[in-house]
Amino acid sequence: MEESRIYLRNSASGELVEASLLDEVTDRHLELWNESWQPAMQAHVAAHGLKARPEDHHWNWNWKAGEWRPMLGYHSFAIICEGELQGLMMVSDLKSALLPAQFGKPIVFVEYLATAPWNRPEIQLPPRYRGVGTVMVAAAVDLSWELGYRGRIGLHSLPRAEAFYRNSCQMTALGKDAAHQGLMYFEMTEKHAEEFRFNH
Amino acid sequence: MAEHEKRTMTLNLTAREMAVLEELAAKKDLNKTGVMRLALRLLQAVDAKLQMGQKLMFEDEKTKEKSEMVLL
Amino acid sequence: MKLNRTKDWFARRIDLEGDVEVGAGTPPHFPDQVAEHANIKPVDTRIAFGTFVALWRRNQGWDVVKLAEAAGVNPEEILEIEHTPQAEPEPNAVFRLAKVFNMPAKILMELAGLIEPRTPQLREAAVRFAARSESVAELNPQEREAFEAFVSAIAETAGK
Repeated sequence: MEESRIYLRNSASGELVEASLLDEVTDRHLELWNESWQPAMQAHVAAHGLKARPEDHHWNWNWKAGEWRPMLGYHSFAIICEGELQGLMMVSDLKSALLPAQFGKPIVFVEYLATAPWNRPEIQLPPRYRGVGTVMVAAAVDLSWELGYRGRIGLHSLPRAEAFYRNSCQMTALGKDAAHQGLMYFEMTEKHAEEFRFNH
Repeated sequence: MAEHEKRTMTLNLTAREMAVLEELAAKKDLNKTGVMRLALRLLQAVDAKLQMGQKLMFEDEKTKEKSEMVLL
Repeated sequence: MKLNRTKDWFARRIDLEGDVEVGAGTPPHFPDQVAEHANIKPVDTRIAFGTFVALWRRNQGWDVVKLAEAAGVNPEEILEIEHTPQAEPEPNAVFRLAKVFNMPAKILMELAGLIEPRTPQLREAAVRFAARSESVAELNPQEREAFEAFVSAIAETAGK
């Protein structure tokens, strides 16, 4: 497992805070998810009702048991800051691009990307840390490059995150995918991946 | 050896296999090693599903007809 | 895999992110693997699960709030379990209910459609049970019979 030094911005102080990106989600991270994210999400639901339940309020326990871990085609990432789990991402590298310009070429597909409940504007304003999305997208792009995929990535954006992927990440929207709960499917081209790859 | 360090293997392919490998590499915009690694990952993922008792099927988009791709 | 960026890169790009939602996809979820020999879907056993929870509760003379308190879960969660089989229950809630019922969590998780169906007899028993009982104010003799038969089926399965 490799650890990279990254930075997140603390909203309260406005300062950049040092954090770690790990290229593997461990049992400890899943424990942290259970101990800190879950209660925060449940508290939010308790205050605002079941309608406010986040998409990722729980996940399949079989999956948690590690069926995916021996799989070469799956990669995971975790962000830790000040001892707490700030972000999670799971990707697979077996899918191909749909965007006509890169049709059929392999991409890193983001299966799941999430920031901690206290970092989400819908749950906490202002969010505690900013930057988890940016760091994770950069990680996916770097992985894509490492695999020879030239930075190509794809994902299904949650409805309120479309602005982030469209504007901040400069990804191309291909349309809502009925096979994925009608979520908008985005892809990043090699050209736009360059902006994430290098210190532009 | 650390986990992320790479090991080397010599691959013996027939002329036909090599031709297919090169064609896929061009199509997928990968080098030949990239194609072989992708193939390995795919085979592992498919094998895992087969072990769980699932089948690998293709579906015709238009007719919705399904056909099974048998893998041992 | 190492991510190499300057501190400056983070400063600039994070400011581009702003205070927005960033979520994508949903946590990896292996679809429920329905056994081929039965047309029993997760929602079917969930009906039995919901009915079972309601009957167990009423058998104790408890209302929803009392059960929620005993299990340490949200009363809304109990209501959803009892009345909305289309919704997938919280694994945490199911674990806690299993404790209160003094039952193997695995069995309840299977009934709730949260883990792969492994015991066909359980599913069939669940469907038979659900078909014979209704959530009315008191357990009538039929319901009690159905309830007890189901509890034995669970005990039998757990014993295997």
